[in-house]
Amino acid sequence: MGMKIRTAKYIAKEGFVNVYRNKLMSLASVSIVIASLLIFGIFFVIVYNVSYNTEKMRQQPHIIVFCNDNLEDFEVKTIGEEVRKIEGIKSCQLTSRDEAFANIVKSFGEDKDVFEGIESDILRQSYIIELENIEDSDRIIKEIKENIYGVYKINYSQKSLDLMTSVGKWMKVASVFLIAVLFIVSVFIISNTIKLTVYARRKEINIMKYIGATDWFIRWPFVVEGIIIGVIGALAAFILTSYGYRSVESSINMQLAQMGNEFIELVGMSYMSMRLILFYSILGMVVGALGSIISMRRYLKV
Amino acid sequence: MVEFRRVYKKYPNGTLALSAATFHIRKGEFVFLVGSSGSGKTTITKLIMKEEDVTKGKVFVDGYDVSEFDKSEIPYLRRSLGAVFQDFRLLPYKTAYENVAFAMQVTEALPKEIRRQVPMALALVGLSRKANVYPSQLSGGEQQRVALARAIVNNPSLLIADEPTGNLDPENSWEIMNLLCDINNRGTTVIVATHEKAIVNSLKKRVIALRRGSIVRDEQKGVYGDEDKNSQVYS
Repeated sequence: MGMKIRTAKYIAKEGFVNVYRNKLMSLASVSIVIASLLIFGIFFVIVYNVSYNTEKMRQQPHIIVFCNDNLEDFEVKTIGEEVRKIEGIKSCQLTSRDEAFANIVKSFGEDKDVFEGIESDILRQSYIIELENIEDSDRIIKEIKENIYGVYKINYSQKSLDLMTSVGKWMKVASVFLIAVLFIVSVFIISNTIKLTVYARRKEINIMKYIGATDWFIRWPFVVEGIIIGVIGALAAFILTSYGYRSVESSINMQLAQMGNEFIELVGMSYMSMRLILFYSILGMVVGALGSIISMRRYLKV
Repeated sequence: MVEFRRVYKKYPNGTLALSAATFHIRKGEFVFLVGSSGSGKTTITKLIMKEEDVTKGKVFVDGYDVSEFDKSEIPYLRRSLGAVFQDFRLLPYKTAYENVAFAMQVTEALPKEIRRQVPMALALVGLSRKANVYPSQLSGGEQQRVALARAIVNNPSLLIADEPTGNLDPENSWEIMNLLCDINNRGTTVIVATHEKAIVNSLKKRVIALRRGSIVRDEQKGVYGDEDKNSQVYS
């Protein structure tokens, strides 16, 4: 289907003029696009953060070794020294009972009263071990278990990594499903909104058919109109999302840190923005164009 | 140019709008289709433009069997025809010039071609001086002349006019009819569906008279006749 440049020009101009001529309808359609994109955006942000953190964990392998609680201080120290001797260890740091206790108390925030009368000695001392390479984790855990005395329990990130990976996988499946449903719903709503403008212009469409305009010649300006609406909606949704995300990002990160969590954090908006704007524009354009095409169908049958 | 062979048209609501209609219009002819409303005049024009499909029979336009046209070919069929209607059907936000030019734009004609053809078509209908006026600022007669200019701008070999004077006073009606005759004299085949008894009677052209979907009379240099009265009795 070769289209002449002047026809493309006519179609583009007509599309823009239509958006302006039907200001109110355009505004209504743009609002719907924004609303649906924001819902898409929430899923996008969650999925993005889960996979970001999964990736981060993969890159920061760590193991936590808990010491038996009947050990003398020097015995605890020996454990640390023994661990450091193992090949493939990046760092090995002791978390004392007091530090661990302080972390837990802090994570309860306002409710920290529940710890009144409780001493830090109910907790075990532990070592946080960072590995050079996650692939070594099985070997290192085995070595610690077999060769080092006084180890109570070993927690390693592979467990949480596995959990995160499967959570992430399910999140992706769920959000693809939800996005599909929402996509259909918003195409339906937008096609109904555009249908009102098409209805108002059914006479014009009819005239165009009588003078021998092809269906695509008639349809294209409406498609352009839908795409413009989609792009405007995408830009607005992107601005809203960035503001919203930035305002919760720092406070959530602060809370995560207070909970003593060193591994999980929210991605900065700037890392996501390129992908988010791409995601929004494509979705907005497709929704707008499809909405137009669907809403035109009836009126082209002359 | 146009040939109907035992054409039947039944609408989904059950009305038999045309039954066994057979006629042949040659190139360059001027033909009136007459009859009361509901007699089948408009159905004939719709079948020629393939706005409706025949139920039975064959319709040939310019040698092609219209019923064999694919849906995607209809626009090209319509470009080879010109059409005017009772309600003018002009685009309200386009000037007279733009309305006429638009018919060429949809055919993806060259801008140079458009700039040459449109003024010629407007001049032919005597509206050169109102080229930049919007339809709402034109009288009914002038609007119909713009529609005529649009219908002929692509140099169609066939012009179909469905009640072109239905909304006009006698003076304007005559003007439009005279223009249709001019267009016919330049070689275009013209088919006019009309109620205008006085005009039909004085022009002495070929008349195909319809009554309740059947052709009751087809004569050269015909007159309007009294089919209307009879059909009133039945309907």
